[in-house]
Amino acid sequence: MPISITLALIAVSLILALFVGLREGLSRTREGKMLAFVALFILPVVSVWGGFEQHLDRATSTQFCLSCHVMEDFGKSLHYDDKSYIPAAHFQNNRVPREHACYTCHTDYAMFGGIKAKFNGMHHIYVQYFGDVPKPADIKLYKPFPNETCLHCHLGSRKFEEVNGHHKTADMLEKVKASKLSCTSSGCHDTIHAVGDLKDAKFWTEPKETEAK
Amino acid sequence: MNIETKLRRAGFMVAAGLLLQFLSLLPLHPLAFIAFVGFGVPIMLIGVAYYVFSLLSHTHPDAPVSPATRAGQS
Amino acid sequence: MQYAITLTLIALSFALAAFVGLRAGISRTREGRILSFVALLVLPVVAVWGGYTEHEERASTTEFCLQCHVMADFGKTLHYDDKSYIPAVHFENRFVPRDQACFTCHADYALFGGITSKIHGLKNVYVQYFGTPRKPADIKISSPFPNSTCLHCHLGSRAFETVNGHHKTADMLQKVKASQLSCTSSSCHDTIHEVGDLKDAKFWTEPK
Repeated sequence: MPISITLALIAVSLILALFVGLREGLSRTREGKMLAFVALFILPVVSVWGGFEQHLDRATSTQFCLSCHVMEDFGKSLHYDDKSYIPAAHFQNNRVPREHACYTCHTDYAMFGGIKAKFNGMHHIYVQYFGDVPKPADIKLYKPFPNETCLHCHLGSRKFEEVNGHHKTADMLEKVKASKLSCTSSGCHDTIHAVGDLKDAKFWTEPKETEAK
Repeated sequence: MNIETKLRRAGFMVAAGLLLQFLSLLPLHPLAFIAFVGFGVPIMLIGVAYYVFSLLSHTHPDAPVSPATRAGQS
Repeated sequence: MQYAITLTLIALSFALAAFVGLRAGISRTREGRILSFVALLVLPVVAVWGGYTEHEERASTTEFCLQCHVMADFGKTLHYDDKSYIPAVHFENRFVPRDQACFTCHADYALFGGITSKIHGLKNVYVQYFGTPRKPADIKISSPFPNSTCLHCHLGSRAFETVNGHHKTADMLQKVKASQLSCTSSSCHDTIHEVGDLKDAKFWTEPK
């Protein structure tokens, strides 16, 4: 739902709920009872669905992820002037949408993957405000990076299926697809954010006149 | 407590939850998300649940209200 | 999820509108008037919006586009076993989502781009059922293919910005970005669907 419709809907529901709260003798007529049903059940449910969708969408934005100070270094690592860094190569070549750069690779894409990731995120917010924030270099993933995230885009792609490096052994690709051989931790595509490299690194910045919106 | 009072309480609770939801959609920040799922949604849902239970527990008192009183009232 | 909610909402909206329509004396109480307002304006607007979104999304699928027989050849061109065909290379390498392959490149992405395309599409549906559909090889795009469609993904991308072929003259890239030099019809990236090539072509299919 676009934000304008969501906000308008919430506002209408809000006014109607207030009307139900303030109106005397509402339940005496059938119209009143039905109005109460619409105002206290249907419209709130639809608004909450719209609001939730909106929040989920915002939580996938790069800006959202980088609003915690501790994530800034990971944001910078997207600008390494070096193709061997996987996140940087994806970001600079628009292989992931720049405004959803983090989320595109950091969800598991399964059913409710987004919601499971958000529960972990709740914990992050707790730590950010009430706990000890770790140093960027000490931040590790909860679980090994899942092949499915890579396969979500690359599976079935001609290059991915045919490139020589993916056929070093006869069953290599099969193992990758079955998650028995990790894309990122089998010594193949293992140069990732590497925030420790930041201090000596060179960075690529997009030529000015084309700055993404 | 009659249904009238319960309806009014539910109305205020739903309204309060919705107000929080509205405000939470203005900034883009993790805390706005928390305000939404942690406060706006639960307060609103409690209001909705309160309304639903008040309906379930109040089947009878409405009965005499229906056709006869309505005719006199409008 | 969205689909189920939309259907429920349409059903509820229908039931309430029917109630308001059938109920005598609805406008005598204030509750009745407000209920009519919600049943006849607020809920229908939300329901229509939900329904429209659903339809728009369906219309953007490859399956939807290929339902007209005349489009079948264009679908086949996505499988050419030859990198020089732009649509095939985008499809085979998943540079475009395969289930929305046509729409991704054939919408102008401007404000209401999707809707302008849809109005044009209505004309296509008319021709399909009441007119004479052309031969696939005679089908031409209605306006020149806009650079903005390519730039939607490629603009700012490092490969696009820095590749030598885009710097043959000093202002080449600038002209491309300003739509003064066409990506597809300046003899640079001009091998497109070419349905005429189909009969002698080799095809690539994804390994099972």
